Amino acid sequence: MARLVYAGATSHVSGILRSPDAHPDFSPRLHQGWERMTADLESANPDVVLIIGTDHYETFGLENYPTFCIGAATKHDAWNEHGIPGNTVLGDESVGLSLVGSLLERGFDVSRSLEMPLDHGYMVPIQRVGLDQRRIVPLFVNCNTPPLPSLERCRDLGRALREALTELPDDLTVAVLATGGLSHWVGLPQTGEINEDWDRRVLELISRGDLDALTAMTDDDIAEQAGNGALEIRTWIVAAACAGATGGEVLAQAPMHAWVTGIGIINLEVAA
Amino acid sequence: MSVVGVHRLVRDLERRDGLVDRLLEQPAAVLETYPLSDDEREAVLNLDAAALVDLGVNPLVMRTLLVLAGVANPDIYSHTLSLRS
Repeated sequence: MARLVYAGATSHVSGILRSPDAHPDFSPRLHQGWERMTADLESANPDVVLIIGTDHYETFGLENYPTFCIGAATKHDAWNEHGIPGNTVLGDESVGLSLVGSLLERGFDVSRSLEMPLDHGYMVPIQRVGLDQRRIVPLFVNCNTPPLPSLERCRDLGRALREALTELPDDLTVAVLATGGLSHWVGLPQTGEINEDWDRRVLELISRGDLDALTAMTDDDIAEQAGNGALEIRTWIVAAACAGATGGEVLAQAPMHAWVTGIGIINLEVAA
Repeated sequence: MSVVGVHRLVRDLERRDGLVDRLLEQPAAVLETYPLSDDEREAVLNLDAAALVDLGVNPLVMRTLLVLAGVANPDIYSHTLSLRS
């Protein structure tokens, strides 16, 4: 039975790499959070990192648009959309396919992609927290193309993933990292607004492991209060449920107007 | 659904060398090669953010289109640019 050795979540906006020092006070605080996450991941030394993210119409288009999809490949190229840096990373075809099979057995009909390039939703965290030399298994969650999977369904996917990890080989160590959010509006008139109160509340709920309160939110409320980009917190819910939802430690939070996004970084407790 | 055509146009603009320049120079000729409805073609030509979203184009895709066409992100809903000019 594989071991889950780390779980966490972070925002993924490209400004993290493109203009890392965009704010004199907030940037150092955030980078301190990512440095802590980097150190914790290094210490956990996972064989495979399952990154739960979404896609911004780079890998998937309306011709074929999955709800959940696992990348099962020996490598994952980077799209480098809009000049965002990033190089090809290693994947793990065997782990990806094993998770697909285990999830199917648990009632989650996830798609699989044997060739799944990655956009900034994956590549920014990979680079920022030092995962570019590790084996990456991406798990795509539709966060921006309605109809979306419900928050409850995302919680249940996380729980199923937790079980699915038990069917991976005995000596494998796995880290889970969710990416997305927090409040931001993309391609809407409110672009640039940030709801810091909402961001703090979500971080508080995640840090308490209160998935009931998180999944009680409606997508309409989330979109109205925190923007269409905040719908990406479903990836955080998947990761928190996978970790056992016993709590977490907020590493940093800031309203980064220069990046048009509320930023959150959190380590999740891994329940026994 | 023809909204797929708008999405495909934007993806091609991101990935095909020279296509953005061709769109800016000869928009009608480029748009002719995509299965767009009349309303979609007009909205693209006008770089009309609100109309594109109303027609079902995802806001993420709309934003990419307008930024590639030279509209600054904060100005997407207030700019006066057009592919016709």
